[in-house]
Amino acid sequence: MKLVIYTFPNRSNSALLPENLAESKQLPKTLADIGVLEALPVPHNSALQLLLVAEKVPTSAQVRSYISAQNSDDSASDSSARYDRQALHYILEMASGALTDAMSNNLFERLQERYAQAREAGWVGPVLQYIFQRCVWLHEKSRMETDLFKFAIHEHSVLRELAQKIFGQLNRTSTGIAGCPPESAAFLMELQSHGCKNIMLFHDPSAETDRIDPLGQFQHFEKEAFSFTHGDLLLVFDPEYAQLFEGRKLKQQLAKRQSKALLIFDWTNALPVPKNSNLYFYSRADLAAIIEHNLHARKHAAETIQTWIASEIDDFYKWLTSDNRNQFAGIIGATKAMQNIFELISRIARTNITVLIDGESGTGKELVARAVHRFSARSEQPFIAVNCGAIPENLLESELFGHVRGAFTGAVAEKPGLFEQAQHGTIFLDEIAELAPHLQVKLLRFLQEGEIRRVGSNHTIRLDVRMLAATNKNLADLVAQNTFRSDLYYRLNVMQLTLPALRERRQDIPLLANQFLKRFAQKFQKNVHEISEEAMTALLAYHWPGNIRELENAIEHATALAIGKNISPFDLPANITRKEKTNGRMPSFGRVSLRELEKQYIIETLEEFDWDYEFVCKQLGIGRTTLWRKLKEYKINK
Amino acid sequence: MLYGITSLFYLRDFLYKRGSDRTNAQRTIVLALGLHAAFLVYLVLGLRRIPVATLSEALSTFVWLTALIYWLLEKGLVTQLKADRSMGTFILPILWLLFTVANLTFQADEPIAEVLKDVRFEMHVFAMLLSYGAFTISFIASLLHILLAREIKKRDLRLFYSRLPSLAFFDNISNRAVDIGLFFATIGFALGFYSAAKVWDSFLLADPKFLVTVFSWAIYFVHFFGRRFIGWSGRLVANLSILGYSVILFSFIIISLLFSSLHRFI
Repeated sequence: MKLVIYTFPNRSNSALLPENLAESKQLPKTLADIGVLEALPVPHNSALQLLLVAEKVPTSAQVRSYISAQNSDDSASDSSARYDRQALHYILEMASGALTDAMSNNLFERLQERYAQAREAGWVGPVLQYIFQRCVWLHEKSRMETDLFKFAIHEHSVLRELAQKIFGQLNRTSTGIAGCPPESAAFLMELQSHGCKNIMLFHDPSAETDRIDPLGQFQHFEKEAFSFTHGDLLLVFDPEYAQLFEGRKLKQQLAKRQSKALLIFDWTNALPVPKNSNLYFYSRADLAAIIEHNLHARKHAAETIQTWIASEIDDFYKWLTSDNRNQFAGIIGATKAMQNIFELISRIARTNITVLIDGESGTGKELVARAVHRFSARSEQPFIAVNCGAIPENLLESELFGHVRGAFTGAVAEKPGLFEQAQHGTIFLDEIAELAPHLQVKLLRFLQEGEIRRVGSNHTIRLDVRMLAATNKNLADLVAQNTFRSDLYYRLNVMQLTLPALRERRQDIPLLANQFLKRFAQKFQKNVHEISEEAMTALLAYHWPGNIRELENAIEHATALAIGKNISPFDLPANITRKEKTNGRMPSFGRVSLRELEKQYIIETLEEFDWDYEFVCKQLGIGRTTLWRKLKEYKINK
Repeated sequence: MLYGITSLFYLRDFLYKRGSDRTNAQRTIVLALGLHAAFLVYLVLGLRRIPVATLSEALSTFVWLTALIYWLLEKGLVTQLKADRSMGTFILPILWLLFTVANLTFQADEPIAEVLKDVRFEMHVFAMLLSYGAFTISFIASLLHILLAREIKKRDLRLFYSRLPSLAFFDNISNRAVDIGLFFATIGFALGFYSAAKVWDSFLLADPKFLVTVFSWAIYFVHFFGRRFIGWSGRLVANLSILGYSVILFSFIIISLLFSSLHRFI
């Protein structure tokens, strides 16, 4: 598997993903024909960039011919290429912010947009999914754990920082803008988004101000009306104002201001530098020097990130050559629903946010909790999993929070609780709905104050523990029935991860089944390699009320029974195959015509399998062409 | 001792911005305040008066009051405005120094004049100490204001720029501290006049200590008046605050050493 990024300078990136491509849900034929498996447009300031995943690297000419077909303008330009590790390094640098390009702050934002579009259009496969998940994770990590994002590297943000250092909060600071070229728009936006309300614009009546004041919310004045009394922060964009800065005029102007601080920004680099104790004067060149300095500091901070990137690249190749490519921290899932979950985990793992994981029993909630822990900054610290439903209610409190000597009969010694054992790590509370009301109060206290109290003890213990909770019940319903505290519910529900039931992600069944087969074949020392086609059809058709756990047991059962190399339908538990015979999945549509029934059934199956035609054909027992014909006939499209 | 450790933590926090230093600093300052308070209570019970009559007692009380005011400011308990921890970096070493001086000169059974055992006199000293504490905080805030303003002015943004809060913030803290200080100083003066009139027959206006103190009071009054009624702000008032404090320091150290004064104690 090869990676390559082609860069075509002086082209716009926008035409790469035409909207009609989103309908086809797969890579355009021209790209597929040259061996490309996955593709992602990568943002760049002035060039068109395309990241390609292919078995064999296509030549730049091949790629260019595809791009020319998309873009009407066809100026032949040279391209440069980054291959494999280099390409990955570039993407990871962009995500982590280590790319010292002055625009790198929004490059990753744009990459995320592009990724969402490309995924919608079906350009993205497992390799890009993996890379993107790691990008998101790395981005969060460097944002939380380095100073990289704290250094301002844009003129307008440096100026805004200066203003904040002088005036504190900007909501009482009035701002005057003298001469309003389009370039002043960025400054205005920056100031406004940081609370600056009182903004006055001074310009010629003829000047075009639509761009800098599209909503017409600022006060406009004649150019000549401008003086130093018009604000504490003045941005001068017009060299004609130089006369205000000459000897006597300057003194007069400043005298009117008493000793109030004044910050003047000279965009023209042409004004004389005034000297006065309450006047802070910055020209564009001064800002450039500060930016230079900040970029240097950024580079320094980026050094640690480079080591992270290097190990990330090694991990990628380890992943690429391993045979469990569909796994994310041990969780198997190739479906879109699961990929979304993996992306969310990557995004939230580095924060200390409380996560509520819900899903039917057997969907792998604990695995998800472990993945969150593993990708967090606490991964070296303990992970404590507690099943609240499994411990008798009267023991649970002392089990969780610990107790002191003599707290109750039998409490002969002091004992720290599981929360204390999880110090600096993560505690995972499964079946949180089973918690008794008084424990809910204690838990709420922990979530709000970060404090617990041992049973029978008078003093509180401060803890640094991240909490993850899981439930297979609908907590909102329990809140409505008054069996679960609403305040605790809202505290827990900061971030909710809902795991899909297995019947909602049937495409993962073969992956999971084969994984389990491998494990149990090894366990029972049997030479069983495959699941026969009929058995797989039965597995796919079953509705799996017990989800993955049930599948796991079914495969264990089948592997134990299997004779020979294959698992046949007879090896599976009887309830699974029985359902298949009677077709337990026959939906009821009421009394409708046969045609209507067929249409509805096709639509339902399509939706269930996420419009994956291959699976749908298998399910319906028809060929691909027949399906196409039916879709056309019933006018079904997404 | 604890003040010293606390100031080290503050300094480390200022330089390296690490979470552990911050929590350590907060813990040790509470511990120091608590122990110091216990010591003062012990003195009060032992001496049956507020410990302000001798130099070391007064210094000790002064350190405790200033640390308390600062701590309350940092916690945001006094005003809406929370003091920034960076100020602690500068205040605590000074307190540490003064406290060491106080402890070195401390004598358990120093004889004190009978006149000083008067409640009105004790209130006078207490109010003056409070006002000095407030002036100290104002002084530090103004000093940081000047340092930060200088960095911004020279367009050479370094440690102060990245660590200190805004100029407006220092302005605010300093001004509020001067308001408080001026209020207590005025009360202290009134009580002082009253005690002095009772103790000394001839009221010595020519006493250098007295004159210098009045002078510093006048500076702070100008500070207050200029802000309220003329609209002064920024570096001008910061400089005034520093000037006022310099005069106080002058009266403390130089005058006490060089001139003999009726007002000998502090």
